[in-house]
Amino acid sequence: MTISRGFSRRAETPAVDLPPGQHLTTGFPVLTAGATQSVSTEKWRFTVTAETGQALQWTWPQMMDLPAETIDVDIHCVTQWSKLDTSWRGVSLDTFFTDVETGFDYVMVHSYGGYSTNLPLVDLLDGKAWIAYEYDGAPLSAEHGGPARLLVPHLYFWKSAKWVTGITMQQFDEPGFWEGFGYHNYGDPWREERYAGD
Amino acid sequence: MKSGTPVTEDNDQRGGPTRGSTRLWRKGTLIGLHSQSQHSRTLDLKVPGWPGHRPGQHIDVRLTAPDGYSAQRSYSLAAPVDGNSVSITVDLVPSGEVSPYLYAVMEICDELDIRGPIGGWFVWEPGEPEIGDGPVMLIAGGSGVVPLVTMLRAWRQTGDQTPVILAYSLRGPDDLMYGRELNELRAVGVDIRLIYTRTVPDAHRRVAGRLGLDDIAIPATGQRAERVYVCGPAGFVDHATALLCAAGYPDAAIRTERFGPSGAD
Ligand SMILES: Cc1cc2nc3c(=O)[nH]c(=O)nc-3n(C[C@H](O)[C@H](O)[C@H](O)COP(=O)(O)OP(=O)(O)OC[C@H]3O[C@@H](n4cnc5c(N)ncnc54)[C@H](O)[C@@H]3O)c2cc1C
Repeated sequence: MTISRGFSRRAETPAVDLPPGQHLTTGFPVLTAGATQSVSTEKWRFTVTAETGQALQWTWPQMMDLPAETIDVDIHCVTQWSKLDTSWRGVSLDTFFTDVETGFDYVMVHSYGGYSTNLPLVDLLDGKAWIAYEYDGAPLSAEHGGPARLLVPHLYFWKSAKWVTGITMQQFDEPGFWEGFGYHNYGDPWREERYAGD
Repeated sequence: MKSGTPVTEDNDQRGGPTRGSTRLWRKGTLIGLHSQSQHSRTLDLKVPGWPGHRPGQHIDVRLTAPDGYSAQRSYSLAAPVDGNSVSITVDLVPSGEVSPYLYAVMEICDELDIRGPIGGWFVWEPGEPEIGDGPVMLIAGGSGVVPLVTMLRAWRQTGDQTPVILAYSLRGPDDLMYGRELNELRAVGVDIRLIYTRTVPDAHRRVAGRLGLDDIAIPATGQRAERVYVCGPAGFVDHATALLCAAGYPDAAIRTERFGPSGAD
């Protein structure tokens, strides 16, 4: 580590425990690789596709009939902001996966607009991930991924795909959009897994 | 199984550099300083072992204080590849932590850590088959002009013939970065449009106001650009992409890079 002459701490050290290299924000920055997608709830579909060819699909009203949860979590973006105590409402991935028959360990998440991101299946189950459609008591706005986005708060936020439309089971892990551009394959903020090889 | 299999070497190369080399923190030594506007300057750094980069990519900069405290921020590479020297152009955020140091404190021979290059999506290199004969449109808000000027420099260096449009939105004349170079680029055929949002200099024909549909129109042919790159603060990028959408651009033609702010948005 190189000491930079004349540089000293300027920001106050937050009293909270943040992952390394992160700083707090009170706003809600928007980061997207392309344009904001506009997807109506009428058009919206969410599909889980397994290796058997089995594809389970939910329309918006069907998702609304599923049991919803309020999720209060901290979120961490690879561009170094963290936001504490964000409040969401959505449906647990455990609910969507109840009837999915799969022996595969990996998933590829797909979004309207072509974005994708990869995860191990275990990172979506056991109360670790949701399809979220409300933020702070209001419908999720398009710029934050509305009408619905994936929410996987224990990983960097690029894994929480906006405008989510489907999950495909995969036998082998393959990089999604940012992972193919040199970002870390897994993305654990507490281990500072920002880029490939971290 | 907790973590997935590692990204293969092959995939990593789509991002340009090889693995290993990008994740390393390297020492950068300041070897050149150039004022760029009243509140921005370009820093040239010598970085032994630099693996090279493509126009549009960025680096992470890490500053470390004697007590071990450190802070990291991202900065776009401000010049095409040139041996082991890299440049960044930093716009002062007065209440910020890192930019005031880079803008005002750092002197020739001072050192910091950098790693990169990072990002392989927001990249334009002349000759990309998907872009064909173009045109290519570059849309900048404030310091978002930095990676776009790097693309224009590469365009000029290679003698590329792709028609290029640069729409550059800035508050007033004091904010203009790369003023002289933009004039030179205009002289060699780049369609440069300065969009002053608050204070308009004398003799400038466009009235003050934010980027509008006219500013991103392509005259004569009425065709659309094959590819559009938009860079700047998040709010600006959202405004510009909404305009592009209204002008009928398909998502696949648009690439964006959002600069902070890392705090309020
Ligand atoms: C991929 C990428 C490339 C970038 N390239 C460049 C570049 O080429 N040149 C450049 O000058 N900056 C660039 N930035 C922004 C840069 O990383 C810093 O955010 C910026 O220099 C401010 O850092 P700071 O430490 O001074 O401010 P901070 O200490 O992070 O913030 C202090 C205050 O300023 C506000 N703030 C932070 N960043 C900005 C901003 N960009 N604009 C307005 N307000 C802000 C925050 O909300 C906060 O209230 C880039 C960012 C990204 C993500």
